[in-house]
Amino acid sequence: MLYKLKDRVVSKISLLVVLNLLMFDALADQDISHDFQVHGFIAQGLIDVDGSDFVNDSGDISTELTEIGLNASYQLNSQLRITGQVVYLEGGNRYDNGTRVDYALIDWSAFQNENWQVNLYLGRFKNYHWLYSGTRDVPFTRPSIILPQSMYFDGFRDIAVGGDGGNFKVSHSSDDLGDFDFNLSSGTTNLSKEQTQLLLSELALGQFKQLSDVQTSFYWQPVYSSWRFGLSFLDSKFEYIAAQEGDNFLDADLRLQRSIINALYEGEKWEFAVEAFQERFIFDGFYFDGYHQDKLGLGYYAQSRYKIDNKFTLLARYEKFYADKNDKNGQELEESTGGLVPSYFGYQHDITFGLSYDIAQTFRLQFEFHHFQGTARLTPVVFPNLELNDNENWSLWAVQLMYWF
Amino acid sequence: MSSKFGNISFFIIFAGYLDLFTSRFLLVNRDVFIKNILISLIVIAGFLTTPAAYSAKVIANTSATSLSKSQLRRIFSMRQLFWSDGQKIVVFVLPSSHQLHQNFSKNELEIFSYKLDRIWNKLTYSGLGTAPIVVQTPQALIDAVINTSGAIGYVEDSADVKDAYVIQVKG
Repeated sequence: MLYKLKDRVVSKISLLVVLNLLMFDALADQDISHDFQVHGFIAQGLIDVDGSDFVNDSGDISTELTEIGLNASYQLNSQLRITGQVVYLEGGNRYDNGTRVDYALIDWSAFQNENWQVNLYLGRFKNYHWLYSGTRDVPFTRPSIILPQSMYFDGFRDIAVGGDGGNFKVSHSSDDLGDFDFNLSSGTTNLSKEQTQLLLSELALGQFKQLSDVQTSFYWQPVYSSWRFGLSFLDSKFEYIAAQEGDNFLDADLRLQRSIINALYEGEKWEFAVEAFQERFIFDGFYFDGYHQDKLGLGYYAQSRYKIDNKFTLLARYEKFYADKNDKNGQELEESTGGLVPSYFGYQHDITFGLSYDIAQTFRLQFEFHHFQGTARLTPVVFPNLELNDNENWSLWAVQLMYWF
Repeated sequence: MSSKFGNISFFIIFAGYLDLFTSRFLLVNRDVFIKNILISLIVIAGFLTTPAAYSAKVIANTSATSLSKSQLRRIFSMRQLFWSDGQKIVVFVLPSSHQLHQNFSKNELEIFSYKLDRIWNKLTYSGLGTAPIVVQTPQALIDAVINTSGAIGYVEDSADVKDAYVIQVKG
């Protein structure tokens, strides 16, 4: 209850911040307007999944592919800036749908000179650590409509998207060595009932809380290079408190740790991106007293984009994910559940092809097709839906029209 | 401009050589053969010596009169937000599809314009920072820079701007 209240208060304050910022714009004279910016985006698509409950249970073509956002930023003085973004998201079973405050923060520019920038972001911040995490809901900044699920699992979206707390950033630009960016963040996310059920099980009636989340990342781009390299780590703790009456599960402790490396090449025509990670998932309780699970998952994707001209871009991506790297074919998973959970819940691989067409400067149509093998990145995660996900191979296509300003 | 001219000249060269080879192999007419070689050479020479249109110079409304190339790159990729005298930098740009913007980013900054878009979008839509202010025409960009203290932008080389606003880029 208290968490919900806090969430509501944060949402309301953030909405007020944004509305106030909008009023500023109306009153702004020339000078203020340089310090004030409003931007937004709107995107609507169609998505059709064949063979899994990734988007909906019915398997029909769905319009649940909506992303709308509005943000504002106001520079209070040379050191302080306030900014916020509200988004409305609809993605069916992929994540919790509705309006939410995406970020609302005070940006304190603690130190600045020609080569260094040190900033502290306080409030609700985004995950700035992975290649696409900072703008994962902003359609035109993504390489594809559906991001690689090994790394950007939509079931973990609300946890991975950011948090309430602080992010410390140091940027250094060296004339000899290139550009360096370091981020360190700490902050938790309040998880809704829907999110709890997406992650654990539809039968989980208790409360799921994120206790702590610490993430860090380091990026380096050599001088005049088209390459950029990154490293990132996260450590996140959760607890599940079972409902006092009628819950099907017991109290539980969860811990997720992830190490990530990535590389990005951005040439004139070609682009390559690779992200690879290993994650440790520790899970105690939930099913019965003394239940203990400690698994190392592994995932990576390699992605290539080719700009045919100013309008058309092609995409191809190959992705692998193993929920347990010591049980890559899922055989042990199947055996440990007495054959109840099929082995293909132990992995999920994806081959993606896509095409995007820039109709105008800020107006794009994107299309893609995915072929999946395995179901390890479908919701609910802990207690999977075996009835709807009874295919090892499944596929989806999606098309989305997006506009931004 | 130059790319259009390039395309036309390639077409003429191609047509010329096609003509040349047919006349060579079919042994049609020696004069036509020589004429085609001459035309091709003239077209190639014209193509090679065509000046690149829209080459850009940097303008700014600040006390600084010169910048290093790496400073310029930092300023436009929003990694340097203040002038050395402490004044806030206000960056103005044209829409990224504008040819002048494309040439400026590719030739002066040596950063592809789509990459700049990505850097700016990440700042704008994640809360990390702010992007340059987009104006629609080269003249509006000049006006914006002249009327905003701390501003920086770019203009076509041939544009008529007071010397006081022009910034020398070194290295």
